[in-house]
Amino acid sequence: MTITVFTARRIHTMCESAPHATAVAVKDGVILEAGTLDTLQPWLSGKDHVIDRQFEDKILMPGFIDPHIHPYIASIILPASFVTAFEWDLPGNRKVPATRGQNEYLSELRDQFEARGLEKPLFVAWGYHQIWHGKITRAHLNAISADRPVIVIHRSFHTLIMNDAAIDALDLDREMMARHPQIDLEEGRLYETGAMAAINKLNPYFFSPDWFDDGLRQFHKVVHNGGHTTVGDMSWGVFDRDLEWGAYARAMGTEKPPYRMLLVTTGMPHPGSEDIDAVADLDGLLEKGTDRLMFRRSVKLFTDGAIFSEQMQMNEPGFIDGHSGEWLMGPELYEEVVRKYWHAGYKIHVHCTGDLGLDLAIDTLAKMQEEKPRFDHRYTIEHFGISTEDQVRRMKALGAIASVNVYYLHELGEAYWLHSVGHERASQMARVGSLAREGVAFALHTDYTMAPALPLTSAWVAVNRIAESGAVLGPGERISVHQAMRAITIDAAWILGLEDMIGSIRSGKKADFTVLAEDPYEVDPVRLKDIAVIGTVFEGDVHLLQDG
Amino acid sequence: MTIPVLLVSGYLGAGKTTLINAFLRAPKGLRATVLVNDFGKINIDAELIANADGDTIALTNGCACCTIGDDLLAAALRAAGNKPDLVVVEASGVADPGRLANVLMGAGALAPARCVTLVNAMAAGANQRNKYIKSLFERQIARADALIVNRRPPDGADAGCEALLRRLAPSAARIDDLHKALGPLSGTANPAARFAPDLDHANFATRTLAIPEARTADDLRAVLEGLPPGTQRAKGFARIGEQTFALHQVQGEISVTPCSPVRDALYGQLVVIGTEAGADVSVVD
Repeated sequence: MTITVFTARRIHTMCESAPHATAVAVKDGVILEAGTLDTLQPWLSGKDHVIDRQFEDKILMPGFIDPHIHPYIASIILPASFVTAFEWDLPGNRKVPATRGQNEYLSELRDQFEARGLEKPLFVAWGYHQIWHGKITRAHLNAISADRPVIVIHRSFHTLIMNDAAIDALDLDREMMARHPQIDLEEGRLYETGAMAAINKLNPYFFSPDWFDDGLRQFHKVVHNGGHTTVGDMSWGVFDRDLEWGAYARAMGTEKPPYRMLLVTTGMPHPGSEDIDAVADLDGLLEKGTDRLMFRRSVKLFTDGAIFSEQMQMNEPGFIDGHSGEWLMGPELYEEVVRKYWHAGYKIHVHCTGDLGLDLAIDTLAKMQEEKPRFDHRYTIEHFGISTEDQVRRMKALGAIASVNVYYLHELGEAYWLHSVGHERASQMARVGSLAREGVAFALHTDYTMAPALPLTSAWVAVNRIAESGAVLGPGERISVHQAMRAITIDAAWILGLEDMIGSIRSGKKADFTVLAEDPYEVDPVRLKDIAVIGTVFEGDVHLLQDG
Repeated sequence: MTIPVLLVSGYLGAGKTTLINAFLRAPKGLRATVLVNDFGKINIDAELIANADGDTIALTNGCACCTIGDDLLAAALRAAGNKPDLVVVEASGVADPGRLANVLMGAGALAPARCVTLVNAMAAGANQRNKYIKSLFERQIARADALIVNRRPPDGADAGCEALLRRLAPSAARIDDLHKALGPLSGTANPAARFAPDLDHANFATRTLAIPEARTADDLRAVLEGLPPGTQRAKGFARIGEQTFALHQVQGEISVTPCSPVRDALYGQLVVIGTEAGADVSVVD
């Protein structure tokens, strides 16, 4: 009932018409308006109100939005130990430093095992990458523990390394391992399809309440630490809808964390789905939503494979080593499924990592526009790994928009220049500069844990294009700080179709704010990722970041 | 004894479903479990169905038909658990059979899969011109242990398709029904072309080894059994008396079969592709 007025050194409204303010009035979780204490007076005089000055010397922005994140992947990885080549901020004030070099990796792994090895039946360490950590084998892991299972998971999740105790604990058939073309039993390394053989046995551990619910609880903290007030689960319902709904409802319902999630359901066909009406199936989920777990008429589809395992579909000249990527949905199937949702007025989100995958998405959109022209359809290209300027022009012509994992450039840009697709295409990965030049709306996302869930870090990559070595890669694709700030606020809301309620500090929208110690528009752009998040305001309630 | 596996591969419209339906109707005494992507296209006469529950249809002829779901390996493990005579896996039209065969290697009870690729001769030209699927179409053919060519044009105007198959899979056996994919398969010469290296990460090396003098086919089998772990494929020719034998090892499965004579230079040599691990063998340059 009472009106609260938050004051700040500066409020960035993300409205082009009136971009700055120093006070914002909030009632019942909704923004009355932003301005100065003077201009706000008509709302306040004669009414119960409180001036909250705790952020007086801080910066307020609209609550950050990550439109593409996977809570279930996070819930599997977060309970594991992190030994990584890049720095990570984890809940519980665990700041994981960058570990480089083989001896350093093994030393850190041993320390973590000694600290946490007895917490769960399996000791799992995520984040390994041979480029930085050298070759780790079964013998190394046996030396860490002879009798407790030790499992190292590659950063991409496509390779596992195990000690003997782990092989035994998972009851893996050693004869099967010996003859499997993608398992090296001697070195204890299982990759690609070989890793699948082990993950098959790991799933019961990962999906147990002990592990998974712990992971979802940690996920809440990760989301808060990044300053998010809304996230998008951009591929919900992949395993078992009832199971997932149950886990999410518990996680959001019991603790009531200070954010909301839009669930975008996968439209990939599964057995038996040819008998059901695909559109009615997703429409049926609309009534299930709550104010924290929302559904809209949106669907997620896929063209090609994952970028971390080089499964993008590429146009000529393809990959340096000549291999081919994979289709998750082949051309005929993709068109057939898109058609159903397009004609029903759905917002379609499509995963594209390579430029041939993107061609399929764009060509299909072009066909749909000829069958049934739509304006403001929000057909969104997700990830947007490798693309061309010409494709960006087609996107503009057809009305497509993008949600970009710009962090790819930082972690993969140099590696893929040298070992995968060459300099031209790797350096121009995630070409947000071209999108901005053509006026194609775009958001930045992280696909956590594919990148740290830190919008200011995504913005830092987009503005500076600093690769892993510290060198700038693809400077022609840099964007301005303002463009990057839009991409984590109002344009991210636009990509999710939620701009009526979030994304900018404007009359009538939810009172969701992110509180920063410094102003992104004032600092040296190379320091964007170093700006501290003080806390968030979610629907009018203040939630400061805790230590731990 | 491992359970044989046939992987039925081929792009959309190649005839995979028709082939599988025909097999289920007439398995000729084999108790097979057939894994399919969805039941929608499977056409089984009602009187052949013994029991249908959720993801499994049991037939009166002893076969079972199951949906794969999201997890091929899990489905294959369940199928192996029932100890059928044969497991048949329907690959999705956009799947890379080499990759699926590797996935199936996670099931120790199953033998390495034999890939039967179906090709629609009338669509072959269009598939090769389709930028989206050209590379996949060719890989499905190159990986084939056996090929079934359907929908040949009546006037024999499929010279283009024939040329493609000869170039990509010169030693794949040509068959016209699934049963013919069981038992020894023989192909024509050109051992090197038969080896499609696994492009997924592994460091493979090709070596040529000398085949020691042999007096019986069992001696030759022993040579193949003695190959180092990590050998992916091996092929060679040897002569015992007047009879030429072809030696094959494909991911652990060995065969020594009599065949027609080959060029002199090919005798006594075994071409081996494998990982660096496991070396101690005599090498012929």
